[in-house]
Amino acid sequence: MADIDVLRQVEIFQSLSDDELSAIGKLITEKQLVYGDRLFKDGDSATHLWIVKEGVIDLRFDLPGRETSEESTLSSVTANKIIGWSSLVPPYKYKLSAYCASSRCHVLVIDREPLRELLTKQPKTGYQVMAAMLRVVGRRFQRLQGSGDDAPFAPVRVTVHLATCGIAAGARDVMQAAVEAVSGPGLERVTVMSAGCLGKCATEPNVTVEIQNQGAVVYQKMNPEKMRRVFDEHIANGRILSDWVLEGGSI
Amino acid sequence: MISLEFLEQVDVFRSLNDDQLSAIQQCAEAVDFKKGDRIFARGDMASSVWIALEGDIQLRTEPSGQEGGIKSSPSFLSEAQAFGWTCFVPPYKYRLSGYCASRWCKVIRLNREDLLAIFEQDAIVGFKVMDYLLGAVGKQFEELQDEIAKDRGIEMMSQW
Repeated sequence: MADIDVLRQVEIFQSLSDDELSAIGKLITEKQLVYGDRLFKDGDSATHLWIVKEGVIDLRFDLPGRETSEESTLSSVTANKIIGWSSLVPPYKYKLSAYCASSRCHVLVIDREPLRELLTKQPKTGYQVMAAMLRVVGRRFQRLQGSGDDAPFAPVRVTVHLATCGIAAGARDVMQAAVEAVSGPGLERVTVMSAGCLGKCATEPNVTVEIQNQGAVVYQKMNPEKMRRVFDEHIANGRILSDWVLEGGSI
Repeated sequence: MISLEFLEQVDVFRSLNDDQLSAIQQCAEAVDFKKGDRIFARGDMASSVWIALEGDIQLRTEPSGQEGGIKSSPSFLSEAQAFGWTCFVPPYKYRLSGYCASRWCKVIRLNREDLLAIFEQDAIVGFKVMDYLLGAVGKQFEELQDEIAKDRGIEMMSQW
């Protein structure tokens, strides 16, 4: 059973009453994971809806015969967000694999069948949850599509270079800061992703920021605080932080 | 007035009973267009769900604010197919433009606010419609995700 104060913060439950949250809370079990643990894999029957309570979960496309890697991360999901919405959409199969990408992850798990039963028996709750779910999946779809060029969907791509050299220099913490920053309001147009080494190992952690119709800017020797500044200054206000630029940005 | 027989053939309303369909019928408005008319434009506020009743409705991904151009292969709305889930998803803007591609077209317009009022009044209708739309968006999402994963997978393998 999950606390209703926790559930109230979850993106798909925010409009529910305490009684409705309490009913959903009874369906929930909790699970702790450590870095690298897999929640589910591509092709598995989607039997559960998952909520990230703490940590970061990577959604990846795993290549056949290869070990999973951060390079194949399509998106990273942070606290109070859902994963596994395929459990409510035919053909009820996970299409990506999910891995704990922070040192520890705490997730809430809801079994698909009792959730569906509750939503059908209590249509007011069902309507609220499905409408919120449509908004979440629709927004993620639009972001993934990246085709919008109307504010607030002009695409911005933030790439944290997460090769071994970058990780050794602290790129994982930078990634976490970026993922947390991007979940803030008004940043729906921003996508955070990981990529391999830039070939500039001496200046790791490196981060590339690409805003539509502008050249790429590579920031060097990043840390979580600098990452947050890049979001506040460059991404939100268009002011490139020249002192930290390795390449690009007309310097 | 749009018939209940037609409305019950529309995928998104297929699981509704006659009373529920009648409520939808009350806010359904048939609108006529001639060839080349733009029915809705990409980037416009998405205030309605559209359903093809007669004729060919072409969906185009033209650049925002530019009429007529087609960036990629267009698709068509076939009869009784609905378009416009973006009217329920922020920022509530159409992501494609719709044109009448046959000599004339008849489409049904369902106003977003009227639909939301029906959903508030009868949550079962709201639940069923949102459930259907989630399935439709989910399918498009997974197709796009497959495409991106395939492209990035090929790119990664070519680097090995």
